Order: sequence, then structure tokens, then C-alpha cells
Amino acid sequence: MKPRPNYSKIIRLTIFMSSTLLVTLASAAVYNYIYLQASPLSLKTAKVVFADGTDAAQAGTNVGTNGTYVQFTSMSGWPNATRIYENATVIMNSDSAVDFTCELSRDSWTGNTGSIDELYVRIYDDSGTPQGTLDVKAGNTTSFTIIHTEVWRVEWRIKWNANALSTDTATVTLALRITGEGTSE
Amino acid sequence: MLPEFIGILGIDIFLLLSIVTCLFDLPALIQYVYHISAFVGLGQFWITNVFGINEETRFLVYLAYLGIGIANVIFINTYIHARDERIVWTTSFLCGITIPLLLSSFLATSLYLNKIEISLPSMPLVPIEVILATVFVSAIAIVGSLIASSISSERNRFPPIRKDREVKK
Repeated sequence: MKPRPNYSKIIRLTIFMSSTLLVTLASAAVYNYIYLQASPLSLKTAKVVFADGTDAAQAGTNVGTNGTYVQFTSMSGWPNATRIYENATVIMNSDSAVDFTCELSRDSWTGNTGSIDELYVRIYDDSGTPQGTLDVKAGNTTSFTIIHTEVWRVEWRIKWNANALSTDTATVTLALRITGEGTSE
Repeated sequence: MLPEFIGILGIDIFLLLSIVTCLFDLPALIQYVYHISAFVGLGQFWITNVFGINEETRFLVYLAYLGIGIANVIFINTYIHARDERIVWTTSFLCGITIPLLLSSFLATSLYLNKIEISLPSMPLVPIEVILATVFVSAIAIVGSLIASSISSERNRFPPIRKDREVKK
């Protein structure tokens, strides 16, 4: 005689297996959540930083906390003549092995900008070779790769228009974008 | 690696036990107890997370849970051997379930204690509502099955009285 299939067992087993699949997926999803919660955002020291240059006093260089920004408070120029701050600030790559690609660009440009004939920011490497020039007036972008352990100087060239007034002022904000920081660790 | 990994292993062991005990025709109540134990493990995730229990305590809780799961695997292995007296089944159970589970549990605990990271594939984030719905549906299915099973066993215990026809001579 052919044995009668145990339907009760088959149904129960099906329910167990379906439930097992669901519970396994749910527990894995919960673990995923807990894992993400337990992964906080970490803080690291910047490798490419600003520091005072030799013209820092004349330019009013004010390097921000951790060297991640720099402000010049007393830069000025002459009408119809170029004033040069050869070493207003320096950019240092403190990494011992990695060279970082940097991109310098104009972020904002306000004030009596029409009275300025020329405003250039030039980056010079250790040997004094120019590695990039940013024409602030034109609003272009310059890229350079700063070599590990090197300190590069930043030069500012300002020329006001011959008809510029002594009351004319302009404010410019530049952005330095560094690619690859944090990926080499 | 988080201590919850050990908890997940414990949950999987209890789920496996419920299926295995069903396959080996152990009492239905035991099968459900194992399955509900897996839900308890899932509940522990929620409790430890909501109450912000520290990592060390969580590890001890999940280790105890895993230990209970492993002890039950060994018990079922022994029970099947004693009940059926079939060396093939016992050995298959031992080599296919008990020993691999013992080794993986030991490995997981050792990895956690030695702070060795294992790379897990990144999963997409499932909305909390979907997880809750999944667990709820699963729990409803198990409770329904448990009720149906208990009604069925009651019927078998007290079968309806059959009235035989009286044959008049």
C-alpha cells in the first residue's frame, strides 16, 4: 500500500522555510543598519595646508586653524603699476610620499572690480619655477601637482587702473581643490 | 565587526534547528520553540539598540544566545542518534550540521575577539517599515501554523467516536 503523504508536515515545513528566509533577510538588514550607525565620520589632519610666507606681514596673511584656509587683510596695489607680493603665503604638502593634484579657481569676485587691470595669482615650486597662474579677472582655473614634502610659494600681482580712486576696494575669494587626500592612507 | 554578527549566527542556528527537527519528525512543539527562539534573537537586536547597551554586554548576551543554540544542535544530534539508532543519520547530522556550526561559531567569536575585520558585501538599505512588515508577516504565519498544529494534535488525541451500524440479525 502506498504511504499517504504527510500534508501537515509538508505545510509546516513550507511555512518554516518561508519564515526562515524572511527572518534571515530581516536580521541581515537590521545588522546593516546597526553597522552603519556604528561607523562614525572620522576626522583627519589635512595634508596640503597653508602657512605664512615671507611677505606675510605686508600682505596681512592670516592662516586659519589647521592651515585649511588663509586670508589676506592688508593687500593693496598701485594705479597703473604692478605691485607684487612674492611670497604672501605658502602651500605645503606634508605627506611623505604622495603628490597631490590641486586646482585653484576663483570662487567669488566683488567690489570695484572694474577698476582693476590685472590680478594674478602664481604658484612657484621649490626651485622657483611657475607651476600655475590664475588670472582672477578672467576667472580661469589653474591646476598643478604639489610634490610630497615640498613647500610652494604663492605670488600675488595686483595692478589697479590709472583712473582708480583711493576709495576703490575689491574682494576676491579663491578655492583650492585638492584631489586624492585621504585615499592614500 | 559588531557583536550582532554573533547574534545573527545564533538566529540562523535556531532557524536551522526548527527545519531540521521538522524533517526528523520531532514533536511539533519543539519545532515551534526553536523558531520562536529565532524571533527572540531578532528581538534582542531591537532591545540592545533601543536601550543603548554597551558593546561588551551585547557581546556576552549574543555569545550566550549562540552557546544555547549550539548546545541544542548537539542535543538534537544526540537525540536522533538515541532514538533512531542509525549511524548514517547521526554521522550525516554530525558532519553536515554540528561540526560546521561549531567551527563557524568559533571562527566568528575569534574574529570578533581579535578585532579582525571581514569584508561583507554592502547591502542596500531596506526601509525599517519593510523589515517590520517582513517580521510581522513571518510571525503571523508561524502563530497561525502553531494554532493549526495544536488543533490538529488535539483532534488526534481525542478522535471523534465512530458509531458502528448495528446489524440486526
